[in-house]
Formats: sequence, structure tokens, C-alpha cells
Amino acid sequence: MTPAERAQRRVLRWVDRYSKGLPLPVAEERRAELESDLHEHAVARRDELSPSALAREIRGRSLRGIPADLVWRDREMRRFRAARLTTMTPRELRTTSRLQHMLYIAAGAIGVVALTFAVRAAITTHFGTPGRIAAWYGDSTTALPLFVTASLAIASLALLLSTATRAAGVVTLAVSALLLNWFTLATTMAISWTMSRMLLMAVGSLPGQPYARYAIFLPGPLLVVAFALILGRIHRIERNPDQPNEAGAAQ
Amino acid sequence: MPRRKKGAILPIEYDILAAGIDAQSAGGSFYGFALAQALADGGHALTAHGTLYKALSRMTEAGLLAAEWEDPAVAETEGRPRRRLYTVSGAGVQALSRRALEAPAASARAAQA
Repeated sequence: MTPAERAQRRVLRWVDRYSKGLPLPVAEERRAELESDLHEHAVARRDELSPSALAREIRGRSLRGIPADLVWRDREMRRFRAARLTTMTPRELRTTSRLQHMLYIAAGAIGVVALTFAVRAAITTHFGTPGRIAAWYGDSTTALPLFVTASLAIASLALLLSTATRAAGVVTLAVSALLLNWFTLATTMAISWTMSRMLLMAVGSLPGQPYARYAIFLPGPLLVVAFALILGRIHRIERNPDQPNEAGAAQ
Repeated sequence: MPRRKKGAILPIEYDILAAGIDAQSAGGSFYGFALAQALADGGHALTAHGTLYKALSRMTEAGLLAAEWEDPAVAETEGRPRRRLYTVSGAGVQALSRRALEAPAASARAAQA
């Protein structure tokens, strides 16, 4: 296989990737148009360029067009989802709405919990002087990662509200869940002395130590899996019933 | 990214209309790669795949271009993939003429200011 042929295959793989999940005719049309373009490009330039220069030129055209490809996908996806909403059964509509609300609630809950913990970490309640704001080098720096986590959760909520940015919202939400898990454990003492004691007692009472103690790191990853499942379910429902296979399978 | 005003035509779309009118006066219609070559005349790089086909798809939807797939038999005879053939529609020709009229007026206003 020549370098140009390899470049062409890569371009077509990229086409399959960014057109995945779109209605089959739309995806197939885009692929056919690119197949024609790649062929014409190779024929027109093979006498002027070396095989590797031709491959570079093909790759360059593909790479420079990535932002436009993504904008095109976003536009087609919006249109597809808007059209799909009109053909969903009442049950599908209810399920989609319920799943979306689960994501909103999760984002809101992570945001509120992270913010509460951040505020608690920033106030030195555990030193016996409730209400006193800690010095910048003290608990306020401990609180900063939790504030970042809360901001991410709020950002994810904003992204989740639009279908075009929903997947990005779920990714942001997953990151905020992992961060909340990690930073809560890392700053438990600063958040609440009681919570810290209870956590230590709970870990101590877990059977099969020492491995069982790692269970405290599980909520974050479990939430990530749950969010991925919810998003997958929404996408399956939204997929056109006349289109059992995704566009990528059409090759 | 700010959303584009409805009906607004981007500079690359005007370039496509101009190159398309030239190409179709010679061959009746044009296709993606031929257009990329026409746009690249003058030493520019070939238009990126994403930029070109996104613009073509939007312009077809906006009615500035008409598109149809080539007869598969023709492509088969010539041993290549089918081309999607475009022609500039009446609306596309009008849009380009409007711009040609507006551009000197705009530069005159700029010169006065």
C-alpha cells in the first residue's frame, strides 16, 4: 500500500468516525463524496508529487478541515434529533426525559455537595472557631479543588441542557464526579471532623482489610459508569428505529 | 462560536459561487475536487475537506447550488467513484451579482469615512 493510499484510508476512517450515529443516507453521502474527492485528488496530483508528498497533502486537507467536520456533524445531529423527537413514542419521550433529568439532578447534586464541602473546608469549624475564614495558605487552599469541582459540575449542567453539547456535558460531569470523590477523601479533615472520624470507622470496620479500604475510591468511577450507561441509553432511544446500524457499520 | 445570521453568505461561499460559475460555463457542472483545484488557483493550498464539503452542503440547502449524483454507469465506465455534480442556481447567481454591486458601494463609503 502506498503512503497516499494509507492517507486515504485514514481520511475515510475519520469520515466514518465523525458521521457515526447520523442517519445512514447523510453519512453515506458524505463518505461517497470524500471517496470521490480522494480519488480525483490522487489522480490529479500523482504526476506532480511524490507518493509521500501526496500523502502529506491529503492528510493536511483532512486535518485542516476537522473543525468544519465537527461543526457539520453538530448541525446534522441537531437536525436529526429535532426530527426524531417528532417520531418518538410517548414512552420513549418519557424515558428520555427521565434519563435527562437524572443527569441534571446528578450535576446539581455534585455541584451543591462540592460547593458545600468547599465552603466547609474554607471555614475552620473543626478548629473550634466556627465562622472564621481560614488564612489563604490554610484551609482556603484545601477548598480550592472543591470549588473547581463545583464549577465543573455547574458547567456540565449548562452543557447537558443542549442536545448538541450533551455528550460533552456527560464527560464534564464524569470528571467532576471523579474529582469530588478524590478531593472529598483528600480533604475530609478540613470538611468535617465528624465525617472524617465516621469515614475512618467505616473503613476500619470493612471486612477483608487492607484491600477493602479502596472501596472509598469506588463511588466516583461507579458514577462515571452510570453516566455513560444513561447517555448510551438516551442515544439508543434517539437513534432512528429504521436505522438499526450506525453509519460506521455501512462501510 | 457565534451563530451565523440566517441567510448570510461567507466569503468562501462567494468564492465557490464565482469558481462554480466559471467551471459550469466550461463543463456544465462541477464537483468537489475540481472546485478545490479552482479555488486553489493562484498558489493557495487546496481547500480542506471539511471546509469545502460543509460549505457545499450548506449552500445546497440554502438553494445557492443544485446537486445531483452522477450516473453510476458513467463513473463505472471511467473506473472511478461517482461524483456529486453541482451547478450554481439562479439564487446563487443573484447572490453573487448583489455582492458585486454592494462591494464597490461599501468601499466608496469606506473611502468617504
